[in-house]
Amino acid sequence: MLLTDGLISNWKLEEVSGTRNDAHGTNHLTDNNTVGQAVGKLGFCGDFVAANVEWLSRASNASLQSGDIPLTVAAWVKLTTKTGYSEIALKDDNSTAREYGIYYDQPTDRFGFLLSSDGSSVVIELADALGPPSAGVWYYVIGWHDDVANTINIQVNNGGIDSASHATGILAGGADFTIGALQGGGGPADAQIDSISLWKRVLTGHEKTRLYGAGFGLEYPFSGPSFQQRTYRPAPYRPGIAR
Amino acid sequence: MPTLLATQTLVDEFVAANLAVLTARQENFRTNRGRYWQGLSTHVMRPSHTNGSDGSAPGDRLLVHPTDQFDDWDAVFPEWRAGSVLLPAALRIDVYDGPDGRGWAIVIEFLHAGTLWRRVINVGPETSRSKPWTLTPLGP
Repeated sequence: MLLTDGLISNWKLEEVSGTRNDAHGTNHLTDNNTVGQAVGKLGFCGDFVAANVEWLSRASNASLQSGDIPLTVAAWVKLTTKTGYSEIALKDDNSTAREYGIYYDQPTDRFGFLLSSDGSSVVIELADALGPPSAGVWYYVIGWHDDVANTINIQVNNGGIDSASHATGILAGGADFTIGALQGGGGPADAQIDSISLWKRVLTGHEKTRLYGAGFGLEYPFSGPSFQQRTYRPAPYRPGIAR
Repeated sequence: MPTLLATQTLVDEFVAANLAVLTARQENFRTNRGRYWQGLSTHVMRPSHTNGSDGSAPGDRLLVHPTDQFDDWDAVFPEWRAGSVLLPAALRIDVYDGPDGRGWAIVIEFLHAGTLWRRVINVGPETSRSKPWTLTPLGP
């Protein structure tokens, strides 16, 4: 299976300003309050300043809506500060149309993945296996809903998986898909965010390992060799020449 | 006695009385700068009303601007210069630049009896941004 199978959208955030294009689909993002650009994990990234309430958004549509389906959200994140919530990639209006999303949960000092089956109340899985993230460090955060195993899951940097039972699915609601804040600007991120992907399937462990790439990452279209493949390919055997 | 409905009406009338001027200044700003003006929230604490009290308050963040621009509320709306006008709600101007073009929106918020009410007025191509008065959860 290819990493592009089941992929809905990928945003590289290579643009300086204005519309951020969807590299895989057609969910191009509107720039709210002038999201900046910085050197990112893979090329450039979006530089979100919480004090300026900056975020990217796309109005809800069927491709971004969930339901009781398999769903995976992933992003590279570098927190600038940890003084407040930093919403990362979500479909959440913080009201009656909440669906899914990954974010930094400031009160617990953890990355978190949230799901809502009724649009109002949420189930949250925190990345306890990682523990408190550090500001100024890139992390690869993956949250997913497994509709077969009925679980909510989060994993950071291809490390331990935090998982809990969740059997009630996800609301297929009308909230905007957003990066850097909730719909309307709540919980603005003070962070740099890069290479965000949304799949309507559950990734295998091998796929998540490839995306993390031993900390180097793997840019869309995910067709290059992983870091391990690049590094550990043995040199050809040539008799008489020491290796 | 400003009931919730009376407070919403008060705020609506205040915004309506200033919207045409603000729209004209936004168009002038765009002509001169190539973009619309972003205004951070006018208040640290949103004006807080009850059935027994009018919580209108002067903006205390009129001299604050986004880190990537220089113009604050005082520059664009000097009529509200600190302390001179009581604002019945906190106002924020969001600007946007998307696939359908550029626009801006006024986010209007006040508290009534401890509950947060928000209305959004869109000016531009993304018409779905406009929202009627909505009870909004406090916090992020």
